[in-house]
Amino acid sequence: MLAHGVNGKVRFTEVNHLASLRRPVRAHGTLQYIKPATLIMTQSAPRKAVYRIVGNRLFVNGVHRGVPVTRYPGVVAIVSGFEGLLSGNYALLAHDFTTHLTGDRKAWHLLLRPRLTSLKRALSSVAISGRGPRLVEIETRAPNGDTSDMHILR
Amino acid sequence: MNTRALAVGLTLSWLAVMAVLAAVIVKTGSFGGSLTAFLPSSGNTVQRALVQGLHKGEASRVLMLAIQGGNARERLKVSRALVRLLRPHKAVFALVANGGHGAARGVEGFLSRHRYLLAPRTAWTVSALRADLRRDLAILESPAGLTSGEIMADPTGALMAAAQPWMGAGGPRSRHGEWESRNGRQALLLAETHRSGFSVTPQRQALHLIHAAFAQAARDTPLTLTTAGTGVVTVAANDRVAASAKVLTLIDLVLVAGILFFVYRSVPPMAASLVPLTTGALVATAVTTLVFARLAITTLGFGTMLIGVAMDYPTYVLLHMGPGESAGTAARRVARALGLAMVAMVIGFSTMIVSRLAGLVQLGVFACAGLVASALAARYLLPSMMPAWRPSADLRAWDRRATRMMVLLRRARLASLAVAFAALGVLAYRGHDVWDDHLSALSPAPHSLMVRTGRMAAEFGVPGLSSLVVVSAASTEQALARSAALIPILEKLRKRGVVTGYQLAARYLPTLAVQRRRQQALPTNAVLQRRLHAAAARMPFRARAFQPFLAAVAQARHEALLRPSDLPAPVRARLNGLLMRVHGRVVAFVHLSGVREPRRLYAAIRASHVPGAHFVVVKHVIGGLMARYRAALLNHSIAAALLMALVVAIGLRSVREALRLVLPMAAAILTTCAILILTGPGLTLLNLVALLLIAGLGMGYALFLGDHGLIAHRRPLAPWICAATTITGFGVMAFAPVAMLREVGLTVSVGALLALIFTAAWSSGRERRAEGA
Repeated sequence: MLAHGVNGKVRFTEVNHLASLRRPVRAHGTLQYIKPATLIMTQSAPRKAVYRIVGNRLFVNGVHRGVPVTRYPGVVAIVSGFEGLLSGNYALLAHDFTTHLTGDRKAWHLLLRPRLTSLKRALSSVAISGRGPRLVEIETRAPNGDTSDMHILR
Repeated sequence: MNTRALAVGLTLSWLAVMAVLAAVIVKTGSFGGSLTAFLPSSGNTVQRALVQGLHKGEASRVLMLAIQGGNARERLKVSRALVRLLRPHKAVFALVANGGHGAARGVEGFLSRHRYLLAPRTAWTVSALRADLRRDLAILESPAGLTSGEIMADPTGALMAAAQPWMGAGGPRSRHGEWESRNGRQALLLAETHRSGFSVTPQRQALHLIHAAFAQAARDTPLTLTTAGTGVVTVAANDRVAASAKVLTLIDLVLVAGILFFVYRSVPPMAASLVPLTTGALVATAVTTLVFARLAITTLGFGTMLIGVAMDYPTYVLLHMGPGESAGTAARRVARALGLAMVAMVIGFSTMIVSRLAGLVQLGVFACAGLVASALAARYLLPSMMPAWRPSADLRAWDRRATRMMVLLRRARLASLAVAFAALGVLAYRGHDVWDDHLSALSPAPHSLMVRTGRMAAEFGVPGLSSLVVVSAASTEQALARSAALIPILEKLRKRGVVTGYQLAARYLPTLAVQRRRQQALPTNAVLQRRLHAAAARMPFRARAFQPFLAAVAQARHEALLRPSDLPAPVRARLNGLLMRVHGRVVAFVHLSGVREPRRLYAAIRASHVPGAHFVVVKHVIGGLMARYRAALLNHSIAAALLMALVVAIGLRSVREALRLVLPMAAAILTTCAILILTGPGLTLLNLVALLLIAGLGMGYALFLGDHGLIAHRRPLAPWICAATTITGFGVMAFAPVAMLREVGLTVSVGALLALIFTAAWSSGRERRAEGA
């Protein structure tokens, strides 16, 4: 059911607090999920950039040669989360994360914690909330104290 | 009664001795079960390195697995389960991986610790650092920002650069870090065994584990598993030979037993007929395993074939028993002829022992030991085992038929001469074209499997075994330096599409000189701190975020340089396949994948002027080695034949009789060669060994057909019975589905028939006078 939640583009805003930076990173732009394995994130701020994740390669700004997302465990987590959730591959998601679903159909809350050691090092938890078929918020926590809050707008 | 008790005791002690020999063989014997094992251990460094590399190299040890059917999720699940189930078998598998991360497993720590010696960076200026920090900031502000902890520990990306060779640019496509085929319909895995891909038993064990694990992981799914790789080919080839050999042996046994039963009409002599060959084979194997550290499986096969002549010995003894005579009397009667045949052959084969090719020396020892043992068994053991048995069949009619046949054949002497000259003509006309020296000519593996292995190797980006660059040098350091000098050339070739990828030791372990240069380029803590501060101006980095980086660089400035002995097991395993010590020299291999234009590669490597670097096409080098072995065997066979002729001349005290004996045999062998060349692709090593067997068989026929006073009351039927069993036995093999067995069967059966016809035609004919009188 969730798989039908994202049709076409949605806008997002994101605030990241990173331990290594003096000020938070505030980003906004659009997100587009194309079945089965493409996620396009178009950032308008802090810099204009297009991140295209196809399969497990990350293409930045339309360059031809992508880099493996495995370089960035954080991205792997988000992508697995998105993909597992949005393509309806809940079982795939459950393979990488322990999942905990609360709330009801109208307002639900899904907490993901990584199972794999390699993911655990970069990621503590991913909390996804939604209303009905719509994704609303993704809150990500890293073990070093980094946090990310992404709001998905209509 | 006393003799019977003695016979039973003797038989029992013989069985006990054979059992002891078998135990000795199993206990001390080390069998090299490979096709490459019998390749000469001599040859130039490149050839030797190649044989060693083929045998033990990584490329041969990789098993490629593909899971198909079902959906992506099922495949992924089973692929992960397979890795989980197989990884604990550390004694069998050096590596099991279904993605780049798995392949670099156990290596990350090493790469991270030594990243500043392994990564090819020497620029530490403010502007270089500033470029790094800009990129880092872009990442931090991107969706990947949350991994900042790791990024700041390594802001210059040294770990990524150090891991580059491990990520495998030419590897399979991956999805979520796990491999899949290009069309996305298969999940791919690699399993690397510790033992050579050419060793049957370990490969069979590895494949068994894989299939068992898959059966467990893929229960209740529609998934299927495809395997490929050198190990799969080895096992399939072995099974194929074993399977067809089993059926053929059964048919053989029935037919040969039929002939022998017709001759003896009783079971004990039939069973006893096996005694000489069994004794010979076991003694020969035991002696060879005791003399040599390792018995090549090829020696065992070829050697047993050579001493197959011993199957004739009991026939010669038992058929020479007169009415009411004991086997002992007959054995004494034929002892001189049997002895002469055996001594001539042993002296002949002993020329192999003095050859300089390891494989031939083994074969010579095996054949000599086996022949002596079986001849002694036929002369002394066999008669004592059956002292009471007397022949009951009346074969006088058959004796007369054999004699008549010989008379007919003697009349056709001129025809046989014409055939022999025609054969000589064919051989002269085909000239050097008569040999087929490809390894594949000997390989019994099904063609479709070879094709599948090639296709999967391309899918995996696993280096092919068809061609590679070999760099020989005096030391490890020099080999690394020289092969590293090829990297820019190889990179250029890769960009032009001449190759799709390459692998070499220098990418995993830089030379000491290079490591030193990188280490000396690292700035001191104070300098680095100052430069970082300047580089990070107007960027929002916190100063303390750089602490881990500063500490790592400070440590790297004083760490010991890396040598091969310092490397962790997976790195060393990788290096062992790429860097080898061969007879005092060090050889670095450059494995190539997707070679499209061998000529351009050859030209580029040549033009590089890197000393000791050669581009080699494996097929040509192996072909050259095979040709050498074959040429040496041929030369030794010719020397052996001349020596045999000399021994026979001395034994018979007549050069004329010796020529009568040897020339028809030579004519039979030449004619067999001509027939094989006219009907097949060319002669291989196997044919050559089979021809040697024919020489041995022909010697027996000639000695027992001709009348030269060696044997009193000669039985003309004996050689015909021997030939009948040989032709039947090997004739069945000529119908085998495996080319290797077919070749041997055809050669020996045709050769034995021709040897019988030719020697009979030229035998001295006193029978005619006897009959006329």
